[in-house]
Amino acid sequence: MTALAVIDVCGYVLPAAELLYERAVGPLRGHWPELGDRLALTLPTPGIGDWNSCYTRFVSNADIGLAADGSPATPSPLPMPVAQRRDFLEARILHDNARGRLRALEALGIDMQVLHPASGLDTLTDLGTAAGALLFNAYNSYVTGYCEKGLKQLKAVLQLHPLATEWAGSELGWWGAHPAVAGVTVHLPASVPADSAELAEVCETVAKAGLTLFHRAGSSAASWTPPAFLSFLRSQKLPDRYPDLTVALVGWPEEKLAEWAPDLWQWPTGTGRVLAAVGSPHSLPGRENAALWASNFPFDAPDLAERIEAIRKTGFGTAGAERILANRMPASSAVSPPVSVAFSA
Amino acid sequence: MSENTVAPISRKDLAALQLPVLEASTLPPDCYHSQAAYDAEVKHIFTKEWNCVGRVEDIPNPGDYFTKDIITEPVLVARDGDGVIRAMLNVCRHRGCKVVENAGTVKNFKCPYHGWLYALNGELRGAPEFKETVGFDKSTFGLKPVRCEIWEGFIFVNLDPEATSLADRFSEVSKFGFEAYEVGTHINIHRWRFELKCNWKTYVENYIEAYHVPWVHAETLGATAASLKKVIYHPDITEQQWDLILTPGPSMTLHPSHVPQFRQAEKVKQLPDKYRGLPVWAGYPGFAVIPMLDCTLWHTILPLGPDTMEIVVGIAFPPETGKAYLEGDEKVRELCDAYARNQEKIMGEDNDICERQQLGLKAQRAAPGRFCKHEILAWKFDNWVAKMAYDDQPQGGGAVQPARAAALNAR
Repeated sequence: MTALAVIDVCGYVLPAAELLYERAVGPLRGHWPELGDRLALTLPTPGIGDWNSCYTRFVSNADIGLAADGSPATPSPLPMPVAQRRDFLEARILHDNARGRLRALEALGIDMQVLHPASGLDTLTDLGTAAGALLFNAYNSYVTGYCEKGLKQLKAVLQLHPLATEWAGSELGWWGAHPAVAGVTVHLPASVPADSAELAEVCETVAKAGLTLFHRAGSSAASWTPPAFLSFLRSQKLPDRYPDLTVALVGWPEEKLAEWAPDLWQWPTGTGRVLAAVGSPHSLPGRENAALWASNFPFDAPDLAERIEAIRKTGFGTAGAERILANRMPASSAVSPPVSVAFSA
Repeated sequence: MSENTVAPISRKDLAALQLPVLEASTLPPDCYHSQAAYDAEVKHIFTKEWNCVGRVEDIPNPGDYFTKDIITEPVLVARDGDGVIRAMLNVCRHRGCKVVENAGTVKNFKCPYHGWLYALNGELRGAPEFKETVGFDKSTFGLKPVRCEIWEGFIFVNLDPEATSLADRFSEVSKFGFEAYEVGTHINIHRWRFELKCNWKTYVENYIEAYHVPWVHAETLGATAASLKKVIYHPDITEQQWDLILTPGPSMTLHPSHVPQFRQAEKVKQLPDKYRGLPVWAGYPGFAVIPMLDCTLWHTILPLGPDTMEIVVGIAFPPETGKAYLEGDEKVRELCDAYARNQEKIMGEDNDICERQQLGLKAQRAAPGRFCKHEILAWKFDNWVAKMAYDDQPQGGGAVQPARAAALNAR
């Protein structure tokens, strides 16, 4: 019996802000000190950890307090998220140790992993449009570079700002055809209205490029539930105009997916589909063939080895996930570098 | 250089200095203003020895930093996210730009020239546009570390990677009751910085002898001056680079009333009589700490040139007092400020006399003087400077001629 491929559509990276700085274009680097209030120092995680010395990471507005003099006060050093405590896990796989991640994935038996940004980066839409777009650009540069260490195993999801319409086009032109790219997440903060023309334009740019839209809980405000987002896409007639548009729901609680089920699967006939990342295909009764597997690696998943073994024997939900994750954007569509924007944090 | 000269001092003058203290001559005046002496001291002393650059409470929180130039060497001292205080050379590893100025709080250090980004521990974290540079490894381009040790709340740095550790240098201090004063817990609340027109050695010599006190400090330290003949010098208690000068008797406060206004460390009361009084602990080249009943006075000295120097003086108080002061407690502030004003008068007297001495030392016909018994530590210090910086004998940090000093004490 041939072993089935184990494809994980939900792994995480969490680059230190310094890496984003290094990857950023000039305007963002020049204005970096203006982002100081949004950065918190991290504590190194002793033993098996992700960062073995102090770095900085972005924090959300909600985490920023006020000092006695009324100035913004970022939190005291934050502990880093602790990855699974497994002997084979190397330090900094969340950050810059892509080869260490590849070794870990091989040891675990994961053949392909799609990478999303862990908490911290999700809040960048709190910043002004230009600053947010520039930071997502830096992340996109970072994550594609990270995945270049193992293009067969590591897949990147580009991050786009929902209001930076011109930027979205040039960003996809620059990174979209990269062989590591498996799709795009458009961040959806609460400030983006349900009828946003800018969001519609950004989503259409993604659909036109033929890239899968990853609608991820961590990058969406509470109001932007999967039903709300899918309803928005339908209202814009994007599934009708782009029949191969696929939306992957990632990071949403399985009980909520069941609750929302009536609104999730209404999608025009075409090659495009709505899929959901879950721990078990049985989480989507009657829709097992719409299930993608999510490991959340390297964060805690106590029964990970058993689950991987089971997937290798019996498969998992959606057949041909590789094809869904394949980048269908033609390389020739790569355009000029991202447009310049006026910085405002 | 002639055979009879050990730059910048003649062999004859060096030999005269090396005689027992009551037979010895002082350093020749040239040593207090010549470029050759200064260059030798910078090379052999200030870039080789431990220099105090501040207090831990100067940088209480992660990301706090300050800068300090040790002569020509810009140094950056910062508290990392894990609370550890580190020092590094404040020079970008890209093209040598000074990375930061003054003091402040940051998350990273960013070179203003091409934007290289360093972590608080000096690691290079961002080198934009260097992806294509052949063989470039960020991990080998962090800010150059500078040795840094904390002693009783004081931050010391040493530019010499091979120097003996500060902990070893000060390891014997506890034998003489220093720890009873709980200096390490004190919080600094006042600090003064002066640029004086005098050679750094004049000031060090000044605070390691009490001979000048009855004249220079007649108004401010009159009561202490009366006990001059009781002052005990300890030139032989250690082979390490510090000395103790003690005025026995009831320990002192800096409050003008001579009555302590704040909590006194309990252990001071339990000190044996021979260690009770007003101790001045001098750590060479340029550090002195004077623990008192309810406060701590400290000095750091660095040369700025052959005949100019910087002195930083601080006054620290027990933690509850320091905290109340910083929180704005009016009563505590009033009392502490009285201590500070008193200290300002004393400092003014020392500053004036050292600058006045420098004017005399620059006279063309000025000549070496002599030492009295109250100047044994000045004699010892001058010999240490000569041995470290001027002598062509092997360098070393040990006490100079302890046998001779012991002989003097027996007289």
